[in-house]
Amino acid sequence: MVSGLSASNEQFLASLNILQNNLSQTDEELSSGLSVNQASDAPQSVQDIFETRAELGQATTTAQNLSSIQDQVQTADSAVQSAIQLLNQAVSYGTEGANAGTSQPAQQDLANQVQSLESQLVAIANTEVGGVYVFGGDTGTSPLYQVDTSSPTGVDRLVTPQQSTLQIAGPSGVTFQVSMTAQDLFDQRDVNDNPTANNAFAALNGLTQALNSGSTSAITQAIGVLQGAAGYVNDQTGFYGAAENNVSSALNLAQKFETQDQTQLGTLEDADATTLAVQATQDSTALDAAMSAQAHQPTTTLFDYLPIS
Amino acid sequence: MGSLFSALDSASQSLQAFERAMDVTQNDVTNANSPGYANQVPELISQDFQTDTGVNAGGVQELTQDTRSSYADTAVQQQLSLQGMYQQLQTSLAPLQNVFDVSSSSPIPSALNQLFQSFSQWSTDPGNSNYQSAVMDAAQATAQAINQSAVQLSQIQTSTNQDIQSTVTEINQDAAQIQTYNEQIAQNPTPDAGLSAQLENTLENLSGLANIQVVSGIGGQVTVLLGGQTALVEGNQVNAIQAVNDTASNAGNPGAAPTISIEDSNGNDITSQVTSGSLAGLLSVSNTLLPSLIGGGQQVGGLNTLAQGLADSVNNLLEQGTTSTTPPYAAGTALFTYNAAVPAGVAGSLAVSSTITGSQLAAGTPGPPYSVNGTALTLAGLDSTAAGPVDGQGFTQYFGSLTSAVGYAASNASTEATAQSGLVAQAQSLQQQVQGVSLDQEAIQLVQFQSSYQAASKVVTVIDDTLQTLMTMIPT
Repeated sequence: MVSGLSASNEQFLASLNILQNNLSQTDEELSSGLSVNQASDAPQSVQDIFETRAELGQATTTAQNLSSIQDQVQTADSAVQSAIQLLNQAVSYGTEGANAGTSQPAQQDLANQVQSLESQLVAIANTEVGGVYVFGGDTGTSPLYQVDTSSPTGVDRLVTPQQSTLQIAGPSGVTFQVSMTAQDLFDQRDVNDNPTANNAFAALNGLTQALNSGSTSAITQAIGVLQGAAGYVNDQTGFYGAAENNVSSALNLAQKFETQDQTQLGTLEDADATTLAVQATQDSTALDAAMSAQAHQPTTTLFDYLPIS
Repeated sequence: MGSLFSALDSASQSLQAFERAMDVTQNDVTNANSPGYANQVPELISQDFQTDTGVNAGGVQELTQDTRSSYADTAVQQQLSLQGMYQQLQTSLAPLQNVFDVSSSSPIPSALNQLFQSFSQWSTDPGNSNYQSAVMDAAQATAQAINQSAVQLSQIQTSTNQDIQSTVTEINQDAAQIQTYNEQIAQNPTPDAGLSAQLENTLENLSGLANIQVVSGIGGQVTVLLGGQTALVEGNQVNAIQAVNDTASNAGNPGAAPTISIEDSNGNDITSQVTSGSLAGLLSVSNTLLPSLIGGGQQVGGLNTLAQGLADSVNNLLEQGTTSTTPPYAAGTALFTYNAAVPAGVAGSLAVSSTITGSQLAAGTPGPPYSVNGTALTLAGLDSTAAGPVDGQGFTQYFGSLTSAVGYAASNASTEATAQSGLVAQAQSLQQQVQGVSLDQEAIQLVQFQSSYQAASKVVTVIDDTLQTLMTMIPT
């Protein structure tokens, strides 16, 4: 652009423009609260800002995921604890039934109570949290068992046996398993699909049948089997204890990462209000001074003193 | 011996000389703020005065001196060229900074973030239809964000190319104007301060558009060279330049826009000679920066690389994954589609496959060992893998590098434009010192010439009186 202004005025305007740009920049940073409002503000930090935001988002999602999983793991752990209590209760009923002084009707009454415990165990196997059957394995979307007294185990499987391969990732990328299937816990079978000695359903059903038969030896034998199954289920609580620890540690780490990422993001892009306030004051003062100095520049020339006749 | 009449004649010439001097001063004062005007200095030259022979009766002659300095003008023109380039870069990069936004709502990084978070959530419950839908929605949003950026970059490319055409037109108009001035100078060789100012004004305007070299010829005519090599104006001849699409530049790179070449009037490529001025800034954006982002010439473009890297990485994992939870494991389906035949158009053609549904997303890995969410977990961590899938970087990191490149270019342009404004003002200040009009100086001169004029008038009056006396001595 070609201008008719004098060079000194051009220079003054150029300097004024720099001051006004500084003030605009400061104003933008103060009003947005951010020191980086466009890429040119800090091109060297742009990659770090994007990456930190992504890491923060990932840490937040991981924390949400872990929080949701934590509910499932705690529910599953609690359900297994209930199952152990329930199996111990059944052992108590069996011991009472095996007592020589227990009458036949009393034994049948105890058989009914054990039967009721088996129904409760089925309910435990079908434990659901937020639409997820926690012992359902890889496809935990529908009930797994129903009571069927005619079955050797006293229950019917409603879905094909599943495996539980679901891995949960912590914030550092380490994965761990958080669930077992109901089959692994309460309905263990051999390769021929026959119940093993650890099968809790079969053990409960065996005790029910023994109590109904009134045979003390059969009851005693069923109690032994049941104690074995209860011991097995008890051993599995270690898995859930470990899973709870893993989830809890991962959740803590994810929350720490969230805090770290937020702090780092703040360092990268937040405006320093104090520095900006000082900067704004300095620029404003300089602007006022420049305007004032320019205003005091003499605007007269010798022509003003020429006599006009 | 000089006569009274020759003295009268000499006094009369002096009056004319002082009148011309005051005319020059008046013209200087009038044009004190006219762009391109150079101060004209009236110089008074005394004439031969030989009273013994009476041949020459002395007197004074006025000769106007032009203070124009070609060095000062060249310095201003050079600084204006650089200022034109950096200011143009600053202007052209502003819309690019909007595409490569750094706010937390920046479309592409936000969409990528959402996509990988949706993969992460999906990994916790692969059969969950809500989570599957979230993945599909996030993928759709990512494709749209990349499409939108590709469209915006194409619009910027089109707009920049239009600016190149209009700048070339303006250069040719300035060249034609200079040629007209050259013709006027040739027709009337007498120095004309007004014409000279108009010529300088046009040359400074042209300097802002391109780097020119001005060679002054006989009588004040100028030859204007672009880049010091190609003659734009030679005397009465204008050699117009033109901006053309270099159709060979994008051969073998489907979808890439051709680069723009500047050709002289003989069709020779003179693009490399344009090194400053707004035309150089526009060429830099159109031929270098934009192709590095959206493709052009032989470059595929960073946004296309990002789009293809994302689509290929996600698709490969999903196709190697499985939707089955029991053997036989059915292979997964690709999530994204794009036109592979047009590498420089991938960002524009990226889309979510129309044949895939949420339930067809393959979360599992067939193994062995089989994992119900192995693929989903890998997808969730894809953006933060150590050896990233796009040029060794993660997608967000790669987009950050593109944004950073735009940021560095804009920051550099802004810094240089600010510095250049100062340098232009400095050069203009020097120019002003050498050839500017000083009103104080003009006032002093005016007083001097006025006094001299009054004195010469008095001399005429005295001679007139003397002649009258002489006349009365003659008997009638």
